[in-house]
Amino acid sequence: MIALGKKGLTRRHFIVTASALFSPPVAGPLLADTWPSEAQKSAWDAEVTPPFFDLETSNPWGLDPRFLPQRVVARAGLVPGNIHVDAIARYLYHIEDGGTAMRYGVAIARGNLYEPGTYTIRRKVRWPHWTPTRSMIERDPELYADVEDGMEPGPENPLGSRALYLYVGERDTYLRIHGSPEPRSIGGRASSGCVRMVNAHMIALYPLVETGVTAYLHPPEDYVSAQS
Amino acid sequence: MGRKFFNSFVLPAILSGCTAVVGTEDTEPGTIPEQVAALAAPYQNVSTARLLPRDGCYWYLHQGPVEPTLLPLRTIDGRPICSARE
Repeated sequence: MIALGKKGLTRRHFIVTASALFSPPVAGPLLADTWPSEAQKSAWDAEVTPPFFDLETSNPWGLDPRFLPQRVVARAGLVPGNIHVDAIARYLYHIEDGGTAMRYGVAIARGNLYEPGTYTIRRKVRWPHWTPTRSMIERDPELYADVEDGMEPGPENPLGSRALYLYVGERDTYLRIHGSPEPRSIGGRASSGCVRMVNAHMIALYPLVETGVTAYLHPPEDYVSAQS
Repeated sequence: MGRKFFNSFVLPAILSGCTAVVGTEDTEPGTIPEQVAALAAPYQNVSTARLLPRDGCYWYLHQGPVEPTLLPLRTIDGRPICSARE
């Protein structure tokens, strides 16, 4: 277990540690209030994108090859544009026209923090802010107290390069599909509710996803076990 | 010696080394050793499991919502189930 005292805990230490453990949903009012320029966003995009980046083969992160993006044949009847997260496989699929889908490796939430369901993507943000929810602060005060007012966008922000905001009806669930500064978490269960992707992969997916599409978060393995 | 099955720990920094358990030589889908089936977490279809040369581990066919795809066969605590020749 990690035992961190607040004294002597630098902001950078916190950021690295917190983002390694938690990829959290975003809370309400944001007090972190700077908004990066387009030039800054482009500079960050370049910073998190490997040299000579090829979506399906670049792997400076040491991912298992099965988590690299690839186009697959999709089952019949799936709606192009929609997103499916297969929590057991740790894959996110973006359904395409013509019966295919692009598949990306993801990390999902720890334990019962993952929330299977059907959501609508109603908001998209490049280089988003992040603020821990009240429940996250209550659960892990030693990690979140110092950033309870939020974090500015940037490569160290736990939401990474892009975020897709998941709603039920008009209600923001605080669940996100987002980039992550911790690519080594891909394939595991690391976050506090969100679905994490490699920042560079998220940059590729983001412009292809339209607001209004449906995101299906399918049940994880322990959910299946619990139901059987 | 024959084939030895072991659990390949996902977090070697925390759980160093491997745990030898049992051995047979079956590798065809649907004919995996009983010991492998016993190790596998119950949410997986062990009748589709097979040993893949690429990593020396057992994989099973997962009927995902978008595609059927091979996934590593795992123990209840999430470790892949692999084999190694001595």
